[in-house]
Amino acid sequence: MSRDLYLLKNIKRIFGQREVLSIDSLSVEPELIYGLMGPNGSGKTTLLKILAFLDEPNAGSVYFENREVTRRSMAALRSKVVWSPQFPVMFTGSLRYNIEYPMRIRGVEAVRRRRRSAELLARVGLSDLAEAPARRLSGGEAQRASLARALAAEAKVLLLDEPTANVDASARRGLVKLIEELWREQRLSIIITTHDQSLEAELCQKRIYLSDGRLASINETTTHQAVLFQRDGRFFLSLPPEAGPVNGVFAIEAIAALNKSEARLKLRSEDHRLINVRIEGEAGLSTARRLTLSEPVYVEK
Amino acid sequence: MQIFFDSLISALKIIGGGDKELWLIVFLSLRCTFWACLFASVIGLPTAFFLAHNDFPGKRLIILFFNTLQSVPTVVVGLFLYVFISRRGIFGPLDILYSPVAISIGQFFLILPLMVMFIISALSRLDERYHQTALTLGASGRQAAMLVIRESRFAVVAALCAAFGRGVAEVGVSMMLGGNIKGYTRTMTTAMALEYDKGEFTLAVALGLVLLLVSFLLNGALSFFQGRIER
Repeated sequence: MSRDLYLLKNIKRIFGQREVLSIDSLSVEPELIYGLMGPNGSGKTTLLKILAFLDEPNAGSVYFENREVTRRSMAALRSKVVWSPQFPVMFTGSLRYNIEYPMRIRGVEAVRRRRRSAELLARVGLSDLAEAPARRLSGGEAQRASLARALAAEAKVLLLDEPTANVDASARRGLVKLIEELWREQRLSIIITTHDQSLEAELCQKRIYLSDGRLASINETTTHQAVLFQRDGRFFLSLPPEAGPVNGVFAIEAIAALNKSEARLKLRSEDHRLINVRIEGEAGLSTARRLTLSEPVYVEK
Repeated sequence: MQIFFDSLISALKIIGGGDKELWLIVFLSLRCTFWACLFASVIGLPTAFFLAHNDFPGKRLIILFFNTLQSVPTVVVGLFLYVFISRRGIFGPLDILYSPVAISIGQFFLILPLMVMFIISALSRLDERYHQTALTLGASGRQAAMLVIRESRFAVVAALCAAFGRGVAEVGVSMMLGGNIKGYTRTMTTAMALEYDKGEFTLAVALGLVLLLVSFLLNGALSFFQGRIER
């Protein structure tokens, strides 16, 4: 038996006369981070709401953990999946009240609620704001709070709609790191919709690309430690043997997390393989800083 | 103008002196409207929530019906209910005509459409994502509804205040279903109408002042509540 987290078969979502989503088949594996990509209006949010069991397709079947989702089972399944919109909704009240909400509705006793919310707030770095009005949090703080609240709900699947769209650069770095850490610690399955290619390059192992409500492609990304260097005015990439046979020229899809000690690149080979490259050290960085998105990278022969 | 100031001074004396008849009338009015509001809330809140968050055939017709009922004159409501609860009516055996219960029932039907429409409007203004976020965090349908009402509570309280104001200030239903019986079903508005007919302005002005005070307190409570929410 396959171990799909989700399996979608022949689903269609129609609003009025307009078909906004039509997917013949899509499987999502557990405990991975997926990037859900596509231009505006391509059906990303609609798909995310179907995966969150907040909406249902007009036709087709959705399977979750190998069981077909029915209207009756949707309510029970929601407790395993938490959807966080682009601007996370914070309820009126303190941040602590918001973190405790999922536990309160499950009937968790006050002492345990208080202890768990303190742990989670510490984990996402918001302990100081526990008693602050949640609706006055900044974009980055609200995203962190939303992650803590999802963990309070004991979610196994996080569906994050544009998590970095509303945060500044420094908050973004912290948020990306936090998502990655939580994914590792909690063995979560995460699906992120984003237009931010560098976010997708940094976090996602797989990518689902939607176009006009249809599945355009699913790509797998691998990460390798590599050396980027410059010779005769060209950029060359030295890949480790485990990267397998890679030939030709790479297109640079994204450069991310440029800082003093680290840079990450997302490269696409001629055979459409996607490779994340992590470059460390000052020499590599000074080279990487001079890269632009249009420059090709040659594989060292 | 002299008659107004004379009546005003006499009215203030009655209010300050703790006139038993005056306060009996005031408390009966408040009691009848309180029960009407309570039952209208119990029915109106879930009805409004259901209408605001569900699409089904006939929904627009139901909303149109509630909208129409908002503007029905109080005497029409009184007349229709009279047919049902009069001795020969279907609910005649309950013997509730000309009782405070009849006044509360009449005010309930007067208040309900107002409350439903106000609350639908309030809930529709609230971002749909509040409801969805509550559901995605594991809330049941009822728990999510409670959260949405909590988030809209200022507008819901405003609807309650408006409904209470409409109930306590109406004359037609109280007169037709209550009968304006002294010491039993005489409300502030029916007493004012009677005193006016008699040319006795003192009690009428005193009751008018109390009505103003009630309105002032309701609005004051609303402002206080709004201030707390905004903090």
